[in-house]
Amino acid sequence: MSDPVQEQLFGHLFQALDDDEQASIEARLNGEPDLWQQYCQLRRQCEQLEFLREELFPPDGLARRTCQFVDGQRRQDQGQRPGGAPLTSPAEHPAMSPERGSPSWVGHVRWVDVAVAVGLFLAAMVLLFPALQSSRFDAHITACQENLRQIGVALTEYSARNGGYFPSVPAGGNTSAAGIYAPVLFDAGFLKQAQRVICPGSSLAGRQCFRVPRLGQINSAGSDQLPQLRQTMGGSYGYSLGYMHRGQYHSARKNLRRPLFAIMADAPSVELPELQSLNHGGKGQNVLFEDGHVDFLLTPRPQPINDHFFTNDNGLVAAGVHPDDAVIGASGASPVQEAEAAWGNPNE
Amino acid sequence: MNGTIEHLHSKESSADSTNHVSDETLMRRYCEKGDRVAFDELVHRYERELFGYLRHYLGNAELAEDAFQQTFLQVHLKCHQFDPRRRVRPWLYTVATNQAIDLQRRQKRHKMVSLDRRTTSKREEDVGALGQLVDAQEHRPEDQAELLEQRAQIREAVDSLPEQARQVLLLVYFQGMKYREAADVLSIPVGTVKSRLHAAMNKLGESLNHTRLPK
Repeated sequence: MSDPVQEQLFGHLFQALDDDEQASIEARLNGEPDLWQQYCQLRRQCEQLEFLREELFPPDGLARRTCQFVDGQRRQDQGQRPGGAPLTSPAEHPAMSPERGSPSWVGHVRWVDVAVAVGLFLAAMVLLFPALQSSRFDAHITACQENLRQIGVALTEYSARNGGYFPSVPAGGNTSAAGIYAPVLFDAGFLKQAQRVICPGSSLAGRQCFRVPRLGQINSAGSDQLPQLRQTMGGSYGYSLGYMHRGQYHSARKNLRRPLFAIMADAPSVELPELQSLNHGGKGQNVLFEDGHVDFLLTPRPQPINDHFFTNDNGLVAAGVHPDDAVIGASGASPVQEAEAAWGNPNE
Repeated sequence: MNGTIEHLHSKESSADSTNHVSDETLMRRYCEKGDRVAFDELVHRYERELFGYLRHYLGNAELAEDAFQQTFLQVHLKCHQFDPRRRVRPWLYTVATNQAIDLQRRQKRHKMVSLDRRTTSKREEDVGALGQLVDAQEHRPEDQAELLEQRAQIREAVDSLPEQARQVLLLVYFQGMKYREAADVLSIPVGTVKSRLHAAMNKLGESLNHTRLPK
């Protein structure tokens, strides 16, 4: 039996509504306590399904095997079927060579052709494989730099409209995590595409269902949902935590357009020495500086700066110990260590 | 600073990179020119997402792999039928869904199997899940057994949904699609997607009321 209101509530819970429908149901939820209660009840019901939602990873090499499988089909189909996509390089198909003589000679030549083709293919693979790998690696770095540049533009626009300050990372509460920059920028309309906060080299890449949560969703999240939201809301990038000054925590940094002050980077990883990011295979990380430029740095403590930008001057992932101490935390990192400990374990 | 910091990369991107190229452009390149790089990029781009979908749909990793390969074989064979005004993603899901249905028919499976059934044996699955729980929380063994049993009941409730309702649940809940996108994949009106999802959730609600998970 159809119930349009419940359909909208489910749509909101699953983020399946279009923007206008989303805004409409949110307005009703804000003004109708009974509807809000109904919504909370549905949310509790849906939470029980959450464990089924785990990501199921493909077996190693599935894409490669699939390409080979289709390639084999292409070879079989050559000469038999006009359909399918044309091939750009028929020379890769020695069996399709034209005008051969007697059947026995044809068979002999085919065997030789196959052997030659295999030899050529192997030689090409030996020569090209590192280049292909390198090309892919380079392309990811370039695309990632473009993401950070665009986020940098959004951060600059945000600071221009907020007294010169970047989005803050509060010391406590649901939003006290580095990744909060993304919901803030999305809610304010400075960023529009969720994929912008995904580095193409990271494990989140290709997850097209990834969405940046709304601030309201984070503020109303319970202790069962919150850790997961905090861990993922910033995508695959880390953001600058606040700093301590005269014994007080300052949650927002002022945009001083400093060319050596890092405000964002590929997210640090606790799995690698020096918290090196995993986004680019541990070989380095892209870093966005306050003046908007992006560099790929091989180490999180580059020489001319000599400030480890994944830890504060005390060596901790926490707020900077002075205004010039840059600390970029991964999405779930909290500026206050005690807070981090409290939220760090999803089972608590 | 730029002169001293170790640079691995410059700003300029390689012009022929496929990373910035939209799915639609890749599809067009493949259809019109047989550009294999474009095809391979599409396969890699959708490897995780489509496999996850098929794995949920078919409940079996081997079948999901077969369906994934057949999906892209169909993309190769039928790319000329692709309507360039459509988005590639819903079209791929449509093809994948059809492949999954065909595969199920070929396997003579009239009932969809578990949403989350492992390819490992039931015993291995239970031990693995139990192990994770022990690592995660110090529950008493009886609590762990109860948790597993309740989760099994939830899986069963999802599995027993009518196929059409379950398709919508998979696309909207598991794959994170908008109502509109799911309607496009299944070639049905948006209102039908909404009502099927609502019906699915209501039916599940009846089951879940009896299977509250412990905190």
